[in-house]
Amino acid sequence: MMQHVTRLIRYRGLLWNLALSELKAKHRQTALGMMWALLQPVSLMVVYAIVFSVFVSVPVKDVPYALFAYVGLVTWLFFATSLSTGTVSVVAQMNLITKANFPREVIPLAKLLAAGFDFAIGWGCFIILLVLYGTPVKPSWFIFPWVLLVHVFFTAGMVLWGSALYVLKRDVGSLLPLILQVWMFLSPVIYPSDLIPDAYKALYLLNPMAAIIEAYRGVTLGGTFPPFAIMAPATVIALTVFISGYAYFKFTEVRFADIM
Amino acid sequence: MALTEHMITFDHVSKCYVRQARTFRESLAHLGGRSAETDSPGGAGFWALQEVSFKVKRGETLGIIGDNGAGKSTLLKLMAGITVPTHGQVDVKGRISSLIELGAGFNPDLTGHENIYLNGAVLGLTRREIDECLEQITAFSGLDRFLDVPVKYYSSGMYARLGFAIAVHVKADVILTDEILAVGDTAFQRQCLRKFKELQEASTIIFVSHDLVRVKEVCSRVLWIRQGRLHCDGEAGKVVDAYLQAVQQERDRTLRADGDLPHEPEERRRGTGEVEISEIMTCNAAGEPRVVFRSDEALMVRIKYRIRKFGYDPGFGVNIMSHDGVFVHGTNTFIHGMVLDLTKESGTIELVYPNLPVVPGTYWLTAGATSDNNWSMPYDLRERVRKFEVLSTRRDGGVICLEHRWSDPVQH
Repeated sequence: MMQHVTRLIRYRGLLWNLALSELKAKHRQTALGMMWALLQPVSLMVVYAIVFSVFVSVPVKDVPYALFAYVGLVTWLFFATSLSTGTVSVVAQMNLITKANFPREVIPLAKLLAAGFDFAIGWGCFIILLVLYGTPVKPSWFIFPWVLLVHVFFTAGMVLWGSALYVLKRDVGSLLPLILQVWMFLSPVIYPSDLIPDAYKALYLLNPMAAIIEAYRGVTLGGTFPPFAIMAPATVIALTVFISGYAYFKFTEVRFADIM
Repeated sequence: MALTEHMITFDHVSKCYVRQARTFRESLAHLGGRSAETDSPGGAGFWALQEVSFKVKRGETLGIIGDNGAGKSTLLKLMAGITVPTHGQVDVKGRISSLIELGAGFNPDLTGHENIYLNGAVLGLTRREIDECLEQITAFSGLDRFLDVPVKYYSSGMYARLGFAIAVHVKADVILTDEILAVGDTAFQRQCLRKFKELQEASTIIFVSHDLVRVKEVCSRVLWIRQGRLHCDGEAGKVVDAYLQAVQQERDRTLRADGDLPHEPEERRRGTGEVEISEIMTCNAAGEPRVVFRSDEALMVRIKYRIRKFGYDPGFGVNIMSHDGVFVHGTNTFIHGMVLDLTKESGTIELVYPNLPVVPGTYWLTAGATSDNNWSMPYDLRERVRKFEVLSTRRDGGVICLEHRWSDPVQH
């Protein structure tokens, strides 16, 4: 494992380059360019805000529904975009894989990095708004990096699993949109987890995405520390997924060039 | 150990490609049926390489030749670490630069400049290392005016130029190349060759090519891979010549596989029919039918004719055209002042070229019979009636290899 990480670090230039070229290529061809990074979560937020606070009333405590949904959407979009673009990425770059030798994980991880750019803009604007509205910085913010790390490692682990599996079994590509759809409704992206009956709540929060979204909301909107009972399992699951995903990816990696 | 520093070591390397189940359904069928694992030669997999062993020393330029599908690309991929052997050990020391496909990592939407950084990163360079050789790369490619243009607007020649420029400026211990000196125009090819010779001094180079002339020219040692096995390993000239001979025999066999000479579909025939050219054959000096010739071999054109009506001053002619339509040589019995006294109804006439000082390629024969050197109204004229191939290890430019000799320089 360690030598894989060392090699990955040596190829960080490639990781950075691939992510950057993805962004450049993506934004150079659109009229609004970088604005899209913000437009996507904001427009989704507006739609959900209209549906769930005007048409159907979703009970949200203390905060405007729009802000509530925004945090959930930005968090979810990073996960879903990374996973859907990352999963197909290795196969899409088969030309490169059969012609040059480099640590293959840079390809899916570059997708994660590119999605992370949009994610950073999403959070950046949110924080600027909070500051402009004079929201006091609460001590709960110190937990933010922890939540972020869990979020990133879990996403990276899933992307590594997904991309390696997709090379071996193309069914994964058709299955993924369905999984993501179901998963989104099983996570408190657009509704609060309070709506879940207590009997199922513990089970519900074992979903790391549920725990992560709840934790982000608690930290930034509620000013509360996320309960250790939620964060601990989420952290363990995220690390397990990441380590197993990385190991599985490296295990199958040597066969990539043959399979394509 | 320092005496024999081996940069590349292949130890009984075999590589088997197995078709993978791509979908869940296929793997379910797999589970239900049998546990088909192909781990032994003779299994269901395809053995691209079998039991290949060799070592390459530092500074050596090793050529790899063989037919398409013989396993050359697999060999390169194993060296590059793109794929791993099924059995055996592959060991490559130092940094590897792979020119297996020039510009393989280019992103068409990015500019040339951005792609230099991207491609350099694919080859394992840090940003600073690329910064250091950016100027050389730009100068070598000769594309400085186009570096701000997305590479999707590049011509294929420009694409290859940029790819080559990046790949050769990576300071590598082992350089893997596949048909790289065949890109761009002749001026750029010359530039590439110069750079290549410069690299030979410092690095170990693996040179895969179908251009046997080049292989002989740049390599000191050559491996001949035949059907996945190492058929021959030795001094470049010897191995290339042996290969050439095998190719000649093989192609000759397949071209004449049907026994009878096939009818060339591109033949055009016209004539008044008093004399009929019934058969035209290409033979070697011993009179054995052949279709592939080495340039130092004799070509005998054998023409069989039948006479329907005896006419005034009959004669025969033969033209040789290159594949792209250049008229290489033409002669006839009239030019030679021959007066043929034909009294029997059929016969054979032979034209012998003691050697074929032409550049390698495919050539077409036209043969005809007429009266009084009047080729506008021939008895029988069969254009493009046969083709033959010429192989050569000498490569001069042009159409014909004129006899020549260089003196040693006289220095004043």
